[in-house]
Amino acid sequence: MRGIYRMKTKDSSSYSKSAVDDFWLTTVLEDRAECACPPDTMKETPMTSPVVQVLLNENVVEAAQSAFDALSAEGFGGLLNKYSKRWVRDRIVERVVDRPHLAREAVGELVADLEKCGRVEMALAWSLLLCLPQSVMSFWSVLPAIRTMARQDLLGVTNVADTAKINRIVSRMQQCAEGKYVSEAKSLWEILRPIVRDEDDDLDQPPLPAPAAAPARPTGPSVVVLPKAVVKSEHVGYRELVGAQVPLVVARDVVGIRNVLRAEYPHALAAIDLLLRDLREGAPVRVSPVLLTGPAGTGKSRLARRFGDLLGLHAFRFDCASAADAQFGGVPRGWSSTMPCVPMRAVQQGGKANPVVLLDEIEKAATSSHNGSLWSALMPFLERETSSRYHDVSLDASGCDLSWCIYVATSNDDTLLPGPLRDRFRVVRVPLPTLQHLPQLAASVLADIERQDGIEGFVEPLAPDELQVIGDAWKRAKFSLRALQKIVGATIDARAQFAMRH
Amino acid sequence: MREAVMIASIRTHVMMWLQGQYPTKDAVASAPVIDQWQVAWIQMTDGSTEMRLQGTVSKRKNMRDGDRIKTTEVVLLDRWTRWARTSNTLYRLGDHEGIEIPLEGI
Repeated sequence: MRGIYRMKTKDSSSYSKSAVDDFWLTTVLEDRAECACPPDTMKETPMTSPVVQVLLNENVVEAAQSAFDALSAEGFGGLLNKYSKRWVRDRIVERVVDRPHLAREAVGELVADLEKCGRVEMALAWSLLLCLPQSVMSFWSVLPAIRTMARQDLLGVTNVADTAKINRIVSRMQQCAEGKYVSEAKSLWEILRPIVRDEDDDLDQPPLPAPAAAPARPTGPSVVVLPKAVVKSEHVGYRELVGAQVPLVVARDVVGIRNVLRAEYPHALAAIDLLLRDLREGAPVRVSPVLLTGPAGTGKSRLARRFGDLLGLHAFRFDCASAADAQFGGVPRGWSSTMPCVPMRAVQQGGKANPVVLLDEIEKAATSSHNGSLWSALMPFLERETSSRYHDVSLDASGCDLSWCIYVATSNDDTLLPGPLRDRFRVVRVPLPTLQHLPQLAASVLADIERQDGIEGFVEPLAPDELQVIGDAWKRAKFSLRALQKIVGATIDARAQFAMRH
Repeated sequence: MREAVMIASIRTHVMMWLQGQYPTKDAVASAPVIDQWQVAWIQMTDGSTEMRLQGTVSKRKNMRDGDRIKTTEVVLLDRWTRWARTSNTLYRLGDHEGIEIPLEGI
């Protein structure tokens, strides 16, 4: 109820009292009667929102520390047993700089669980750590909430100077969300630093919109994807790409990523190494097209997704089974439904020159070539020679450099693909797991189920006799991971059904 | 006066959200739907910018299904982009413009 106290302590001139407010004020009074704190003390010390505590920092490490302090001060009440001070410190605060992807993943988990137990304001404060100026989408859900809270005086900021500072921070974040800092390799706090330090900086003139003749060059590695194009009204979003240096995602912590994947896919160690073979620590991520092939249920799609996820690449999923024409290569400019090719759309959406395009079930694309076919449309993208000089039929632009896009395809049977297409992929076989992988896989499936059902920390690990039964059933299901999920789920249900109740 | 009522209603919704009271499944299921949506930033006359959504609407009162609309300012947007609350309406969000599916959806 802290937010409500805050509302009462604010100057109420900024909003009118209506029946709705009266309802809330009544609720406040009732709650105060139950609360031990006398209202007067609350009035003197209005609490600053954790959101503000996290925002007013000069770098991401301090921000993570502030979020940690705020959570420790408020306590871990309502959260699952899994979360302790130590968990948060080890998994997030300590890793923010060295292993940012793993830290972000842990923050994502924590935010989801905070939301589940209704601690939305704390979740909002933590989700600030997920905001990347390089990805405009990361601001979409955070920004409206913070902006509304700031306008409605719900952030617990009382002094005028801080209020002005917060307003400036919110407008700067808005510029990030509009994509004005997309090509700068800076964290949110580096961008906010001048405001936090009260230094003069030209807020209304963000550094990026430079004259078209000399586009600003981002600090990290970058590449011009779309050198020249006459942009029609349908392509407004692509205007900023014309002639601009688009940043490339750089590989960080490859060893850590390899270890995470190996723990999750103990049966596909060779496949993981082949998948990561092209990566060089500190160099831009560039991977030759990969085709993951193997029987149904070996976890190919999820492996492809995790690969992009851990490397921090923007993922664009293309379902090949429903592709019966050459739309992958773009819809020509003459049609009203004109649309650039899929890799160009992925670059535009993610704001990075090396997104990952996930081609799911590639062998299931329609084989008729009446309207062109996916397989033929894919060819020019898979070879560097042609993909670095692609002519986009929708933007009518020649010389598009799409050679940095990463293609990860999955299929059950690669022999169905035409030879020239298969030759362009590095074929990586994902084998079925065997009984020896069962303990590790079952534990990971169990953890997934716990996370999905929000029962983390309440489920006992699988006992040897249970593993035995699961193993027998799994063998009959031909070692499919999807089947294993069902079997482990059924084991947990059966356990709940036969548990001693008293 | 109308504006004051709107501000109060936004405040109520935000405060309920802050206490973990999200729109119920039924409320989201019966809300108007925006499909093929994308975020639009609108420059206001006072120099500020507002975040709005544009896309094709269905099940919206006084509008035909399939009409292109631009909403009022977005006040809250669900982290998994399942719903969005603008200053006067709750919307259910359909597919994002393009065929991109959030990573978690795969």
